[in-house]
Amino acid sequence: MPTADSHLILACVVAYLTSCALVGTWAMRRTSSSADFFLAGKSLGPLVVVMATISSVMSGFGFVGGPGLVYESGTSSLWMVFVATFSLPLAFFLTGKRLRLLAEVRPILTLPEAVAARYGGRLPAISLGAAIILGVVGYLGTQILAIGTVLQAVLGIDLIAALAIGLGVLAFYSIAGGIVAGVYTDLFQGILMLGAAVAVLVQCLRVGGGMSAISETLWAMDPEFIGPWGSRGDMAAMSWMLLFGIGAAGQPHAITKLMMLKDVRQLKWGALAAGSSYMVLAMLWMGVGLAMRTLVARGDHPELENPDLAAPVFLLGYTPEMLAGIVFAGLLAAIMSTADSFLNLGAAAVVRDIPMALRGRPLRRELSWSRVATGALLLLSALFALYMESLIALLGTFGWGTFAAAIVPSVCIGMNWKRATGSACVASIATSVLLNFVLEVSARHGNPLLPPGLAVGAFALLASTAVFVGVSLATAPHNLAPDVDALMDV
Amino acid sequence: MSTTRLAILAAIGSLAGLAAGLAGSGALVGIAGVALIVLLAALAMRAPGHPSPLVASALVAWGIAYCALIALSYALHDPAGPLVTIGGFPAATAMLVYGTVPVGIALGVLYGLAFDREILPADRQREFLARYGRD
Repeated sequence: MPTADSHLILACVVAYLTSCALVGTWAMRRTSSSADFFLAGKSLGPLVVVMATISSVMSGFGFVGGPGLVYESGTSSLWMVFVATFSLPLAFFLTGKRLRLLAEVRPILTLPEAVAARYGGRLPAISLGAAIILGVVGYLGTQILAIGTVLQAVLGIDLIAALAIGLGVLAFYSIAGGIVAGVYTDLFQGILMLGAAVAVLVQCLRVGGGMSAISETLWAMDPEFIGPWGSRGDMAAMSWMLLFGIGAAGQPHAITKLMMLKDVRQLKWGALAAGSSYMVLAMLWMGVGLAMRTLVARGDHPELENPDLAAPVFLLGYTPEMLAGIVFAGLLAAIMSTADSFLNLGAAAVVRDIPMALRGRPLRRELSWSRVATGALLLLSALFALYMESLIALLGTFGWGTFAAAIVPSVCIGMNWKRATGSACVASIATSVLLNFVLEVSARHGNPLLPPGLAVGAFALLASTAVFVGVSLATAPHNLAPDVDALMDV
Repeated sequence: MSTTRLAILAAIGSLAGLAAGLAGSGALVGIAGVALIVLLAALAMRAPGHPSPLVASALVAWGIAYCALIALSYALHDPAGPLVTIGGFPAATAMLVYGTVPVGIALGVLYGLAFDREILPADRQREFLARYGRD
């Protein structure tokens, strides 16, 4: 990443880190129980929940990887991000009402606990908890590396020092304030990112000479690049549409936020607000990638060494310093909001889900252990990220698809279909982990088992859905608890 | 339609999507994906008396509109021909940008409009919480 030699950018990033620390201090006073630490005491308003949801979904990948994908292959990846207009509402359809009401009648704080209430037995909750831990380590590792890389560029220091500063702030507010600190920093981050995305899109159009001029340049370069499917072709575009359109409902860091609402009726316009707000963020994804490629195609800028440099190069070279500063702070915000959500999910799995499933009761002094687990997970992920980079890259890649293929059947369908069984839940989670891992590893070793363009996660999602329904029908149904049975008729 | 039938249709849609993917047909993968989205949304709304025919029709119409935009993108894409733009984008890409975005947003609008009567009627919520609520 190029170095940002600017006091203004440095000031924006330092102001952001300071505000995170202040929110952490404030949130610490509001966190007195595990329910506060993991679910913000189910006390949040709709604006906070919507902003926290979109901020945690829009990770560093959205601000760096997304523009890089557009720079590299044109419109293909827009099918990943434009589908947020309906994928986030679909998550509300599938999980919002039932998860939130379940949290009203049972003392549940996490998705594996919801699964335990739904299916009974230990195995479904243990399977989901294990899948979440696996995904969390990968996601966290990639976010940690991204925090280090961004701070390295802004502060001009080495990676270890950058990580020490970034992770120090993240650790402070996540350990002290739990999810309360996470969601309120997300609120601040979400608003910051929305404003920045609009401003950057305007700047992209200005630099490119307007959308028509951008299209003309890119069409002359390669009509497929700016065509409806991009350079990767229709199979990639359509399988991404399927994976991201349905899979958002299976992202634990997003749907857990719906359980934090103060009142279930506040879900009503949340679906529309989440989908539309995310769409605004997508403008940065599209605008920067297309503008940067246009500059290169016209010969106004040399070819980038790495597509992921599209966003930082554009921001540092083609936007006013103040806007670049805000977007760099927004970029750091996007990464840290995803990281804090995953830290919280991981800590919940370690301290609450697995012990509850194995022992049938939570740990004593759960809040203290949650804080210890948050710190330990952060440290562990940082060590993994530094010393096992290839493993982290692999886990990070298969994280979204694994969550989608594991959670869409077991939670999204299972919470809405009484005939679904615990065996089907376990089978679909196992199918998800196995297929994603095997197909991703074989593709990475130059031996792809799927046709060109077909996304591994999409394939695994379709397979795990079919397995879930098939195994449910093939196994004996069990009696639902009366409250769960009634919940599924509401 | 019962939830079991909807789930079976979702499984059939998934198997069709897998077959389309393995056969290399992006268009059919897209259509299977949209069908799955409609089926899952219908499954989520299924409760005694719900969804109403109006909301069920709206969900189906949403799926047809989205599939139509995908079909239009295929039909309008002509990389060998001259550039024809709509709103600054090549015509086929304009279906993605100016078509799928508002149609996508319509699902969120439907959720909001149907919320009080179909998704979570206040009387059902009250009844459920009165019987099982912890407070």
